[in-house]
Amino acid sequence: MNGLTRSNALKLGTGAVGAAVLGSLQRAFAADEMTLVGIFSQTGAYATFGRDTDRGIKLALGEVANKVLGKPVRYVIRDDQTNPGVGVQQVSDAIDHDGARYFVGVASSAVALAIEQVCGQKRALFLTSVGADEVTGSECNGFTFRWSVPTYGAVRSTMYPYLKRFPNAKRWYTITPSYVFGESLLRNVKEVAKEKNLTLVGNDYHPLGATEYSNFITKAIAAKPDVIALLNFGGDAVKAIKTAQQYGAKKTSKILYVWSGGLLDYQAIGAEALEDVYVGCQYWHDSDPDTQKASAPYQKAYGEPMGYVGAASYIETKLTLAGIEKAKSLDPAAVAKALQGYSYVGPTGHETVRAFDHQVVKPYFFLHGKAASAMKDQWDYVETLAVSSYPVPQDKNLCKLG
Amino acid sequence: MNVARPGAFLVLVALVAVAPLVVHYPVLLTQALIFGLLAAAFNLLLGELGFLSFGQATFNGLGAYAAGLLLVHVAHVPILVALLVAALCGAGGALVVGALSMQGAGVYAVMLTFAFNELAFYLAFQLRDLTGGDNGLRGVVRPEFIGISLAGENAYYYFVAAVFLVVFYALLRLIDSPFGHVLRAIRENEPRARAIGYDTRRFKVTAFTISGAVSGIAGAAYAMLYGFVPLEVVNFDTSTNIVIMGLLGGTGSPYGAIVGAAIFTLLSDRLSRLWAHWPLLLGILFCTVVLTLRGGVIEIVHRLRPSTPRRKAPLRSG
Repeated sequence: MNGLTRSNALKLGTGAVGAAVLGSLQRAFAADEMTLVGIFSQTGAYATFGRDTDRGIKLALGEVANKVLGKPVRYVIRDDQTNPGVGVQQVSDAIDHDGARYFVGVASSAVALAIEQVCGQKRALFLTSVGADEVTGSECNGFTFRWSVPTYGAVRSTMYPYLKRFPNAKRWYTITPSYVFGESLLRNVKEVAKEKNLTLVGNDYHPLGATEYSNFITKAIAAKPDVIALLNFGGDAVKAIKTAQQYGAKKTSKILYVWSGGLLDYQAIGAEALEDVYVGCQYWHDSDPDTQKASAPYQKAYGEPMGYVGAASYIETKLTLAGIEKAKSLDPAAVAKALQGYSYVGPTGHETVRAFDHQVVKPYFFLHGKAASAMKDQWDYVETLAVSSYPVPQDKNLCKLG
Repeated sequence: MNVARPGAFLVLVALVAVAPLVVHYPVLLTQALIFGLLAAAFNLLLGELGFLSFGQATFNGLGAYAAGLLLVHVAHVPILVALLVAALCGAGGALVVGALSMQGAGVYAVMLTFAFNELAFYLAFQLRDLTGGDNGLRGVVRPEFIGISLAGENAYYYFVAAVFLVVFYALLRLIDSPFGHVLRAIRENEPRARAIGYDTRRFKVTAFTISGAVSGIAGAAYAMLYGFVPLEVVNFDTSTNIVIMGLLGGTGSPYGAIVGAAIFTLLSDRLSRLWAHWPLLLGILFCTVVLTLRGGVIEIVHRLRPSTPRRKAPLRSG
């Protein structure tokens, strides 16, 4: 211990006392305000969604002048790094040391499922829009809510209207990412195929974040299907659609991208490759008067329409604030109870929070890629063909809220 | 050289003991200790043996999944048994990977560790029924330790701190043992070490196995810290982070790994709250350290106190 001099010991001691005082002050201030944590990826695989998530939250807070129940809302950003361990660490720290009890955001299912567990244990409210159905299914808890339509509804809201337009589309080929989200979409596609007497002529699994899709696309073309259904998401689907365009897959089959990431995805795909591709989406800014109305403030603030990611974080924040106002309390348990069964007009129109699983019931959009020449502005990638809602029946949901 | 001298180790014990009083964030501190174990295990290979392993996450993952599965599926497993099983699984995996990787030489051996890491990742990814795949293995319980509840974050921090100090001291003793001297002899000149009668391959594989055991313990501690095992425990990013922590702290001293892990963990957490592009700052720090302090951050201590025990940093790998 000969390295520890008296002056060094004094410095260490002063630092410790200072940190303790700062911590106490932070907690004291926390009592007079509501802390809302935007937890999303600023780094990692889903970092591209971070900007829009942040924008959506800020927009919703701006509408209430950063106040709820007359108290100021302190907005804090935490980077989950698209890593469940980091996400849990950040949420735990925000709860234990910032006094935070409200969390919105997260793009990765794995991160959301991990955070959901912590929020359940520490009694903090968490609203998210990830793809994993388990969030409001087998892993549900009384403090977690989900805005995005589950895979059950997404598949039906795209396949049913597609089959209505193309009743002779009997041969289907699926390309599935080999993780839980993809498997879940595939399971639902198989259910609809059975119900509608369709033939699944083939399926290819690819790893998450695969870089090469030519082998999957050429195999799919060789099977001569009526439809190539893409059950992947984000960058994976973008690469698959671009590859399909290069290999001329659209000449022999239709392409259906079941769960798209909305505007961010379409910008990455480009109008040429997206033309005549059928897509499903949680939100499209130009589908109907409700979606247009929801997008207008966002467009005014940021100079471009609201995408699915921005819409999700916007409404997650709005719901959190609405729950607090309804409960007239900052107690997350009371807020969760107030949100159960809550109906409101959201970005997609009439939306309802189901009491038994905390899943928001909302419409899902079936869209069709326009030709570049038909686009009326730089964001007008798709036309809306159908808007429908197929909530998971209660008897099919594994959620058991205590 | 005597890296296991009591003075330096007692300073480390004192720092670990008082850390929660200064940084009121036991979860982060626990994570820093776990990363410290991983970096120390990496340092045993690079610092002592001169072998750069790019696949340390393999053994971290093996330990995390082994302990996780045990704690999810078997009731009332003592915490030390979970750690022991994790150590054995990490060691077993490292024995196989080490034995096969050491068949290659130089950069090929390094690439083999990377290849095995990718193999382990895809196995964990595909064996969803066992590992939970991309969603992770959830529901890992944190058992008591001789009747003491570790549910509280401070309690668990001090438990992990005790494990960390015991394992790290064992590593220090190992480095100072004749076994450690042989590892350094191999690092400096393997043909000469072989010529004087040492079965160098056996020593290298043994070092790899010990490194795997320590990484396995770290994996188990991580699983119990968060109550689940994310797929990230076994991915290549984790292996890269371990390399960064090892090099940042410095491979010229076993303490360098601890310093590197602490800096990496604490800075990542703080910087991520200040700026969205915080990895850039971490990258600049890493480049600065590599370019100006060849012995890592611990080199500063050596420059200030020339009497501090140090070793020559390894010049080659493989």
